[in-house]
Amino acid sequence: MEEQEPKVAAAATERDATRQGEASEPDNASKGYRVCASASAGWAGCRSVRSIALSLVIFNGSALADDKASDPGPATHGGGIVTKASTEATGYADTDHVDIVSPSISASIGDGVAGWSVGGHYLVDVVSAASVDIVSTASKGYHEVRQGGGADATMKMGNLTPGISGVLSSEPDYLSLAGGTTLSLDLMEKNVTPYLGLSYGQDKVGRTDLPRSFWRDKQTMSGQLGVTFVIDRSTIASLQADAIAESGYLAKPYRYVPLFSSAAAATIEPGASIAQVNATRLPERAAEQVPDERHRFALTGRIAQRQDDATLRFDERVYADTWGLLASTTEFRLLADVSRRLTIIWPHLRFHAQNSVTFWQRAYLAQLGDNTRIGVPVIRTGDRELSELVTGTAGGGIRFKFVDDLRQPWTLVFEVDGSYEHYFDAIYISQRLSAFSTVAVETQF
Amino acid sequence: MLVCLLVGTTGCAHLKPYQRGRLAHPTMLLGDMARPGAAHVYAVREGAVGGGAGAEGGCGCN
Repeated sequence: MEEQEPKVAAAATERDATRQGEASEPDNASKGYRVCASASAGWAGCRSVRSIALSLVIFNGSALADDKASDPGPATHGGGIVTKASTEATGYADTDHVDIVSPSISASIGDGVAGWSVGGHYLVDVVSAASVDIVSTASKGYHEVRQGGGADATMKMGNLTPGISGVLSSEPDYLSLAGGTTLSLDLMEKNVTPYLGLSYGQDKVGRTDLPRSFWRDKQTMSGQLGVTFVIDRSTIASLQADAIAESGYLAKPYRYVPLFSSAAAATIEPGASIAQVNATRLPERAAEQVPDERHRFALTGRIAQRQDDATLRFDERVYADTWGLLASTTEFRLLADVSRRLTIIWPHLRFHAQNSVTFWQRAYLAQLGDNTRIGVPVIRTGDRELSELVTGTAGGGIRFKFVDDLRQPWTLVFEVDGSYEHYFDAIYISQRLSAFSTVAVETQF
Repeated sequence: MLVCLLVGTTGCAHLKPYQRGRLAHPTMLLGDMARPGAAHVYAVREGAVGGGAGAEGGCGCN
């Protein structure tokens, strides 16, 4: 962890809302949840859109290959227009008192033989939060709704498959609009498929108590290069590089960072309670302020192998960015076909580890000046997702085709995961348990 | 990208469409398997991003 020298009058500070009697604002992890969710719309936000398109392209085309009768394979019409629809409800709850319910619907229409598809989705996030970050600002929590939607289209033209997508996300203090294009190329009789993607997102970040003219801008540009290749009759793999450039306002508008004298900071241990922090810190708090540019890079490898009645799937992602954060994410799934109707996903394992950004400090030091001035670090954050942490996730699920009709199948999907997070160098909490579940119904006709 | 292409073109089998039955199974899709909600949670709770589904070839049989 790199210590930063406080700089006098380098940045605005805000008087402690609790002690000064000003209206305090909900800060934090759950705000971070919503903001990040929208902010990621540049690429991650498009994920669901592109997944729908991807599913269409691959599902519709898979009828060509069938040299193993026991593999049920996807239901197809052998060509013609296919319409797909699904509805999904997800729920999230953790020990930090954040609860999220998110229903969504999606639909698409396409022709696998003609090679085109069009899809769209809509979702609502209902967030209730009284996390430790909110409570630490003497706020009782909040309840908020986010709405998002998107659309995409792909059209196969010979060996080329171009696609476009767009996504919009809106909530009372955040607006995100993003668009992107993709292009893939079939080579060597489709044994090798390089692809690229580009997207641009424009976000508006504000506070519910501020007019929109005071909202700040954030831009996200993303590039993606990759290749999928067939290794043998049972194995396929891909390698993908992502580069993401974020600029503008990258902090969280509700987050304030507690400040300490050097003597008090030494007493703050990881996981220090709200009471301990409040008893030790200075009355002033500084609004979160992070660099206004962040360049992020990821390299992801994936491999899937089909055994007799099961698929093994292994993913590894390594990540680095210009804020000094390095991370590794490893994921494994075993998907076993119990019968033609039932597929079990067990286990699903995910492990994520990262260091902290270079400007991370558990307790930021303030330099006391005269009666009215105080020096604080220019760059400071209270976002514990920028600190050193590890996360372990384990879970499983089922896919059950409750109407086994080739032309109009209906499938129930249920997945549940439990996670444990450990923060090595953050205040308020040092660990968090959470549960996440999804129930979905899918059909096509 | 060049490395990816080299790996893809030199280290792999060259299969005909009729040899790709196993690769056509729906569980062999190589996109991000996380459903939108789960992907959302991971993106927020981890400091890293990237690796989301792009335009990709999947089983190469369509």
